[in-house]
Parts: sequence; structure tokens; C-alpha cells
Amino acid sequence: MDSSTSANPVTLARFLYSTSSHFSPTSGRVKHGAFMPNRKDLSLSVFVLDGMTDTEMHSHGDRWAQRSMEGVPKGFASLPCVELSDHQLRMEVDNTPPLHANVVGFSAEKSEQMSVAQALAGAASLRLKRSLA
Amino acid sequence: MTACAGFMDLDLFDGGGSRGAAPEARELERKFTELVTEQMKPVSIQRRVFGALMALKDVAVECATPGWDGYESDPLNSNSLRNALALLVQLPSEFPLPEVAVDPDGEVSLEWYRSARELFAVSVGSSGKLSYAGVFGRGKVHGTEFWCGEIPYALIVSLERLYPKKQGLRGLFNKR
Repeated sequence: MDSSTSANPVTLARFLYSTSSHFSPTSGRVKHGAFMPNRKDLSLSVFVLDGMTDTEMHSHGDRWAQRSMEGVPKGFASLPCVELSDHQLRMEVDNTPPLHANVVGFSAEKSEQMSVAQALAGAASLRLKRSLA
Repeated sequence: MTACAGFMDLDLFDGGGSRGAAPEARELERKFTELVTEQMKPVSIQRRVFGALMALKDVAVECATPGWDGYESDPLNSNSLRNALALLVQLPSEFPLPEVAVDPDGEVSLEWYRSARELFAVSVGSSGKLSYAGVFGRGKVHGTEFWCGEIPYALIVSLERLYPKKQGLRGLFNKR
């Protein structure tokens, strides 16, 4: 798997862990909670999805986005990067781990964060692992 | 047996199960039970809110420990839980009960969802701050109110946009 990223990513993946706050398995939708920024640095941890199948991204998440308590991601939300600029957000690729990037530019005001997160969730597609779909 | 008594008799928490340390989950259970006893007295309110409380209980167990969302989240805040329960009890019966979740900052999130272009969410803070945002077709709204024992008018207006009444002037303005 090529872990390098292009200068202008087209699609990003946001890994999902919480069935109550990140997505609704029954309705097949991504919830706005999946796109609420980290409260400490107002960034959103994502991965570049370009050139990868859903299965490959699931495997990538199992390898690089496993958490000690929550385990491996249950799936991811796929979002066109063009949606970020509509909300004055930008993506900073750091490749730490491979394909990782941070979305920055969120407001410090929570209601604005919620509004942006609702828009991003509405534009995202839910990609659950086969065992959960 | 009232719905409240039945609620109290249920084994609502499983000690956290595989999620998080048992002491944190047990403490949350104790506070949750205390809040329910405090809020749910009239039988009519008990029955209506019971479903939301059961969903909130499940969420409370999942979100009892730091990092529950995989991204350095704060655990569910007990004061936020208290305020959210109080808000749910006050919610007019004409509106359906929301889906409940927790935000990364530990605040309870209440969401009314009809479609990708028709939704409204309120985040209930520990100090009573209510952060809200909604999508109504091509329109959007977001802002801040404070909980003072009654649901702020701005939230009622947004809920009426989402669930317009069949009669009355407000229903005319909410037609899409």
C-alpha cells in the first residue's frame, strides 16, 4: 500500500468508534458528533482516503487507529475534501501515522462547531465494516 | 407500580461491563438514579420520558470514561446529565423525544432528526449553557441560550420549524 499522499487530497476518512455519538447503524447516517473537533486544540483527526477501497481503509484503521479502550474503529465516514473549504476549514497532512491529517480552522464557539459538524455529517457517507453493516 | 418505580427497580448499569472502570460507572449510576428520583414525579411525565432515559442510560455507560470516543473526549459530565434530564422533563408533549448522545466535551447532546436537511440539536452544558444548531431546508440556525428551569423560546421556535403545527399562523410560515 502506497502511504504517500497527494498534495491535494480529494476524499478524507474520519474513523468512527461510538455507536451513540458518531453514527446511527439503523438509519445509516453519520451524526454530527463524528465531526466535532477535539476540544483541546480544535482539530479533527482524519486520514486521506484517495486511491483506497473501503476494505483497505478499514484495514488501515485497524493498524493505525486502534485505541486501547475502544479498540479498532467500527467504520469511517467518507467526506469530499471540497466540503471543508465551504466552512473555512483546511486539511494539514502530517502522515503521522501514514495518511494522517488534521482538519483545522474550527471556531472556538460550540454552536458554530455544531453547525459545521452538521453540514459535514450531512455531506459524509457512512462506511461500516461488513460485520456491523 | 409507577413507571418511575419500575425504572428504579431495573438493573440499569452493568457495572460498566467491558467499558471502563467499574467505580466510575457505579458513581454515574448513583447520580443517574438520584436525578431520576428528583425529576420524575408526575406519572404522565415518567411514561413519556422513560424511553429517553433508557437511551441516556446506555449512553452514560458508554461515555463514562475519558477517551470514550477514541479522540481524547471527556467523560459524561454529571451536571450536564442533570440539566439534560430537567430539559427532557420540560419538553412539550407536542414534540417527539430526541436521540441522545454525548459530545467530546462530556456534554449531553439531544438531537431531533427528520432528514439530512431537517434536524436540530442542543448540547446541554454543566453550567446550564445550551448550545444549539439546526438545519431547516436551505436555512440554518445556531446560537446559545441558558437553562433557567424552562426551555428557552429560541429552542421552541426551532422545534416548531422542524415539527410545524397543522393549524395556526406559525404553521403557515413553516411550510416548505
